[in-house]
Amino acid sequence: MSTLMKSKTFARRALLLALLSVCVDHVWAQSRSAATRAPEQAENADAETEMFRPLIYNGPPLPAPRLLDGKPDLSGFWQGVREKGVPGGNHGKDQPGFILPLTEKGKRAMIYAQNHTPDPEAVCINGGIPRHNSSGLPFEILHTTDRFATLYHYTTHRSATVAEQRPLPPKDAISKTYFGTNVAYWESDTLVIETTGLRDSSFEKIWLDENGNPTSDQTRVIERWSRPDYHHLQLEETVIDPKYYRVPFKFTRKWNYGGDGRGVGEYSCNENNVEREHIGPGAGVIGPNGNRGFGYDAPLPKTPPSPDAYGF
Amino acid sequence: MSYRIKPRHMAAGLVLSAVAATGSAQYRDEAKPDGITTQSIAIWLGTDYTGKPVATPRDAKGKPILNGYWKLLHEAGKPDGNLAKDLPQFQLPYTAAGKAALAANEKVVDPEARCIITGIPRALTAVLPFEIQHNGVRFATFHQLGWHRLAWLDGRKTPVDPDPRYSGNGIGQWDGDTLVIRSQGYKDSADGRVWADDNANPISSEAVVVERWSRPDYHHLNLEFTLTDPKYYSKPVKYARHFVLAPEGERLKEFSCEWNTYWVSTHLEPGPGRIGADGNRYFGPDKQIVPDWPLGSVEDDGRGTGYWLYRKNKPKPSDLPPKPEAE
Repeated sequence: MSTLMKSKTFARRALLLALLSVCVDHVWAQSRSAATRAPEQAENADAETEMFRPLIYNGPPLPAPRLLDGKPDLSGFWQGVREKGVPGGNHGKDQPGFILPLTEKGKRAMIYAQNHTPDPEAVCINGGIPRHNSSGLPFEILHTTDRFATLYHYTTHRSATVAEQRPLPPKDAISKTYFGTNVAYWESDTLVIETTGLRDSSFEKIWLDENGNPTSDQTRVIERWSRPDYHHLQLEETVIDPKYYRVPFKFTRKWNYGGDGRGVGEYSCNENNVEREHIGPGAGVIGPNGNRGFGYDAPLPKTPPSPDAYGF
Repeated sequence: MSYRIKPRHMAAGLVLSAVAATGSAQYRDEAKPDGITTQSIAIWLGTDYTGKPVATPRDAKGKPILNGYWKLLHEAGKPDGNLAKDLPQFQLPYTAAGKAALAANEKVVDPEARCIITGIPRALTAVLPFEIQHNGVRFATFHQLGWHRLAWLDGRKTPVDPDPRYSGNGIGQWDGDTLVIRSQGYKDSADGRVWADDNANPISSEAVVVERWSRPDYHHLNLEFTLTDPKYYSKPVKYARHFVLAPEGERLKEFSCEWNTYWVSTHLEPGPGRIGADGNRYFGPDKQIVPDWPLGSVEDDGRGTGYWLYRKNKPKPSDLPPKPEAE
């Protein structure tokens, strides 16, 4: 989406939200369904605008829904909360200077990724765990008593079997993958997912996050998911990777509920991916704010520049 | 579509051709049974449960729960991956436009081999196992090539002008103990990116698919669907299948469909391959009805493309030398 479209959409959205917030304040408390249903789609909203449009809910916390077995049901459409001054897509967002505690090997792997590996997501390879947990894109959870699936924008997914706490399979019984091999179990009302058997950034096409931080074949990820109330989802994640990181590190994040009746759409990443060689390696320049940036911040001019401006 | 072929790809291709010509190919030799087919059949196909029937699980509202990892009960003599499976002589009632669309599909590389999402109904005609997970509002089928399809069970109305999708826009509701999902708003084969089944049959933007899912007991799942597509078919096409719950512990295997590979950019041929009078395109010699495991593998068992079709005297992806990226 162009910046022009974005700014127009933003203006339209801001106006809509202002109007909505006036109306909604009076209405929210009237019924639970009004408080949880999906917001009305803006006129002519494109799929991308639609994906990020938030549910505005300012009412009192409503209880999290429960599964048939009484455990919290984490199902729903979840939109990441962007913390001010903290980078998105960076697993080092909670670290000093937004830098992860890389070992020497880890630094080499990071430099390798920046100089040799086109962003795996840009060439439509499964994003993997834990990368999707720091993604800026909303995602969906479909949760039943014995299965937990996170469904991503790319029409890919990660699944886990929820059962009693049990050890991960032995290393030699695991085939390395992007989403890894996992076990999921409840600790009170927190769903814990332990993952291992992941690919290695030094010789495979996997990154730890959008910024090209590395992950290794020794990585173990422990995710702790909870839904404190109807409208909020939170994750406390620990990444243990002695090959690339000096110490285990934590990553925490919150998501807002997108509203009943909303979910991920369909996206065929490979549809027209014939220009792979034009995609350079690495995540691009990462600024002191820890962000890699997805484009230019300056708004585009109102009238498009002539073809001369592009130097053709 | 243009592929950029690098000199190193050409060189590797030449080496492969030379290897093939000298008869010392690494790829499967039709004359030497190797057990791969037997192993693949065990991985992909279901074996019927013949024990005492166990009751269908039900949710709080008393509706059946269809969740599980389901494997096909293959019908002897019936071609999988063919929309015409249940029709006389396996002949579909094409319109003139349908015939033309089929001919056009046969000139493009299989969309699955290009790692484009496998839509509906194609994913439902595939020989591969799949998983269902649903709750009261959402229904998902998870497929072996790494994609999923989603439908709504929340009682919403049919959208007026939905985005065209490979899986259509599905809305389900219960008819007694049968879950009925009606999908419309499909992408059209005219775009060159979607087939209705493995045999390159077409689907149009006018198509409506009505799936009827039921679980008569714990171990069995039935599917009947009707494709109504007046643009490409002169009458509705009916299709029915039976699945068995996979043994405890079996799951979909992770598969990252990566079409930007040496293999895809240098070796793919258009179309579904030759389809016999028995309606089957087959996956290998000796009328192999399932693809090999690893699936269309390029490097190891989790990466590949949906191009596992064995072609006589052609190597298949898993036979290729190690990744050229490592050169």
